[in-house]
Amino acid sequence: MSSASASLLALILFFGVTCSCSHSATHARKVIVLGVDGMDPSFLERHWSDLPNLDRLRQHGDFKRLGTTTPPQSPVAWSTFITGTDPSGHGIFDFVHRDPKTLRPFSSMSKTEQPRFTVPLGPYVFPLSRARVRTLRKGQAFWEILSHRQIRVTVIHMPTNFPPIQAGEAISGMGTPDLRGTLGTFAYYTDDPEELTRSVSGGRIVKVRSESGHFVLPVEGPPNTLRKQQRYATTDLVVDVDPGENVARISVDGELAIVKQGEWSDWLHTDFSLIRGLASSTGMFRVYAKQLHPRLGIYVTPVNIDPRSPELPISSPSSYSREVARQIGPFYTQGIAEDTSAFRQGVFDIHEFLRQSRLVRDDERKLLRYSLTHFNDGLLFFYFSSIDQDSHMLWGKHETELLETYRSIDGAIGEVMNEHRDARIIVMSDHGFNSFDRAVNLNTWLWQHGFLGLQGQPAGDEEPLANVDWSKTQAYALGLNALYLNITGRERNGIVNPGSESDALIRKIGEELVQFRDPANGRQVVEAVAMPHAESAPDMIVGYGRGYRASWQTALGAVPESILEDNTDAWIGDHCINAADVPGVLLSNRKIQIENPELKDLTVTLLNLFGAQAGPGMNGRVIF
Amino acid sequence: MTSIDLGWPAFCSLLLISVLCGIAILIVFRRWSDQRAIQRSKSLIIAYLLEFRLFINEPSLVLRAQRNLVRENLRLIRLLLRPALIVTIPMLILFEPLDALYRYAPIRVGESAIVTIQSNRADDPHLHSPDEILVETPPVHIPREHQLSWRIRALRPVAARVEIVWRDRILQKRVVAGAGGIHFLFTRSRFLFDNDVNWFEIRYPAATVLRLHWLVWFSVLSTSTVLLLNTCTNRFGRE
Repeated sequence: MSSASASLLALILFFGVTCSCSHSATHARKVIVLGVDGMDPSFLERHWSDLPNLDRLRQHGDFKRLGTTTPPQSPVAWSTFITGTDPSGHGIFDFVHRDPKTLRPFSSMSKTEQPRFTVPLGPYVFPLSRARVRTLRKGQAFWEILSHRQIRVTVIHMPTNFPPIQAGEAISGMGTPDLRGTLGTFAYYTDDPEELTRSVSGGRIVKVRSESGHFVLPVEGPPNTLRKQQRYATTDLVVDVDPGENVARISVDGELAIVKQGEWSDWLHTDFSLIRGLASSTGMFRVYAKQLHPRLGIYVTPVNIDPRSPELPISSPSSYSREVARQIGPFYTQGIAEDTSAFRQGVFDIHEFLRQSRLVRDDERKLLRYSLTHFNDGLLFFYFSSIDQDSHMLWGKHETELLETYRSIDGAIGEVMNEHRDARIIVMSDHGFNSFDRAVNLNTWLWQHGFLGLQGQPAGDEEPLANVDWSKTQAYALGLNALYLNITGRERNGIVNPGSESDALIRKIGEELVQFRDPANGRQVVEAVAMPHAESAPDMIVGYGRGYRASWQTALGAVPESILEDNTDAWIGDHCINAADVPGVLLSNRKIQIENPELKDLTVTLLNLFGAQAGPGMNGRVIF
Repeated sequence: MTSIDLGWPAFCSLLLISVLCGIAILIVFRRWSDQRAIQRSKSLIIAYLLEFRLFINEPSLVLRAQRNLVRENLRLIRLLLRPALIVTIPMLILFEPLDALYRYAPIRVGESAIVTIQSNRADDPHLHSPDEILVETPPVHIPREHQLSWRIRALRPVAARVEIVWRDRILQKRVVAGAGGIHFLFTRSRFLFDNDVNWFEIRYPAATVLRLHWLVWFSVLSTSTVLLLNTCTNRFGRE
């Protein structure tokens, strides 16, 4: 090649590179997405003046309602945001799915696979490989696509991202279990003679004995998988209550704390011995001294995975949680950390619940500060859980308290806006909220309308689908919006033939459900019914009317006596209703160019902002 | 409680102390050990190891070499025992101040710590603190352990004394909060010949030196110094 042609080639290459660089420069370099679970558009519209940062975002950019998924449940909606696909694409339709062969419910988000080979030795079992946790969500996450294009991504607490996708920097969110492997099991220790040791929904009440103000509280950690019996490994939390004052010293594994009545301890770290001196699991928890005199009442949070030495994968890369914890100290790692269960069980009153929720927010805020400080370019996603969890307990009855939670998130959003003025900022929520006044026992409705057979009468049994006569059952409900047909060849004892017979049955049930009126007030109980038509999908998704929701017993597949009941639970707000009634919010510091934006549009938009093509199955629109 | 990293200043001082200790260890080993016997023992160990390779097809010779190897190792340990014991005494004396320097960090401003006293006295003392330290709780009596505990919180940086005050007696202990650098932080003061008080403790937050326990750095650095200096002096000695 002559020197002239070589020079020409070099020139062409130079311009080529220059042009490609200037092209990529038109794409966004800094995008921050703040995902606020459960932020409701109508609540914002009632309180713009109290939420100055959100109002500023609205006035200088845009505000719209954001179409959610059917059903409008958090795991479903966030999975759609993550993958840009409808639920039929990512395969998550409810908090719980069921195995058609066993008819047992299981978490729709992730599955733990035990080691394939083990060696038994006396009372012990030694695994030859590690247990694995895998996500049940299908499809490609948008930040995987961005990460492959060498765009820096940080994803903090994205729901259903457990175990976290190994792309960019991430800390897992909703779906991350406590050390017991549950979504959160609190413990409440008391020496009240009226109390008994028992399990309650989301926790345990433990009766303890006092030895002159000295208490030893057994804190349960992980199931001991190295033992054949797999009992929970425990550690002793020692509480010494002062004989005269409302103050106590607590100690665990050599760590000491002093709490006055009504106070919270800091995080306490402990090892749960699996084989004495050889193997242990590390966890951490906080203690709340509800009462010290005359009776003991000690609340212990679910034992969280310690981010400094995580027992399960909670971050990407795996060292990320250690690095963050080293900088900011320990933080809640449990997916849904606000303890609504303790409130529902009467362990917390409303003030105690709000206080605990604030502690979760404080940890979130520390994480947000860390993320903002380390964010220079690329994409930062940060998730806030408090509005959703607080709305469940406050909606419609405690507007002032809920506004405080909104104001706190508004403050965090203000911090983001002030620190990164040059970033494209998007604030979005997965759904809105509504009141939950009346609980619908959908299986009882199916039984009364002849679609479900029972051996005997409804008993309100909470065991999944107990006493169901499958030879006379055409349909059953399990989950918060799901309704399944008892299909031949799919269900264990199916009697409905797939095809025209099942289609006709779906139409019939759908028509009758939409005509279903509440005898107490004549209101429409079910507004809409959807048929998703996907492999793992329910056959029907029930969209309840405002004020109605599937009862807790329905979620577990139980068949109580009456079809409708007043909701007397502390859980008074919900969103698992007709999707049209609970849209989310979309705010941005740029004008939104399309009408009726939906969650899946945001996924495509984020990819577009960085010049990336939408992945397979993504069918959203670009909003800017 | 999250440990606090003392960073590079602590590492540099620890490096200096470790190197000095390494030099001292080398001198002691040179002075109080039979260098010729040690050298002979090391040569024999190498020779027996070589026998393994040379006579790999002669099981009886390999077995004999193994037996000799064990015997020579024991002899080497015996030769090293005297200087090792001599080194151990100053090291044990040195351990406590080094532990006080590097194992704990001052209480961070805004954070709390627990003060505990183990006492056999029947009357209750008061805990007096400087203005920069707030005593947040009344004492927690733990009768079965003869202990009293308070929670204190650092409001501002300070290096002063807290006092346990009875009607007829005052006990003092240094407290450090919010200060940078490294400090002697003796968590527990013991009173061995005191009938009234057994010990007085302030629980400081744990510290690390560049993310590791100070003892790890000390072991690595002092051993490296010994090995390095030993190699160098041997080489220069031969030249």
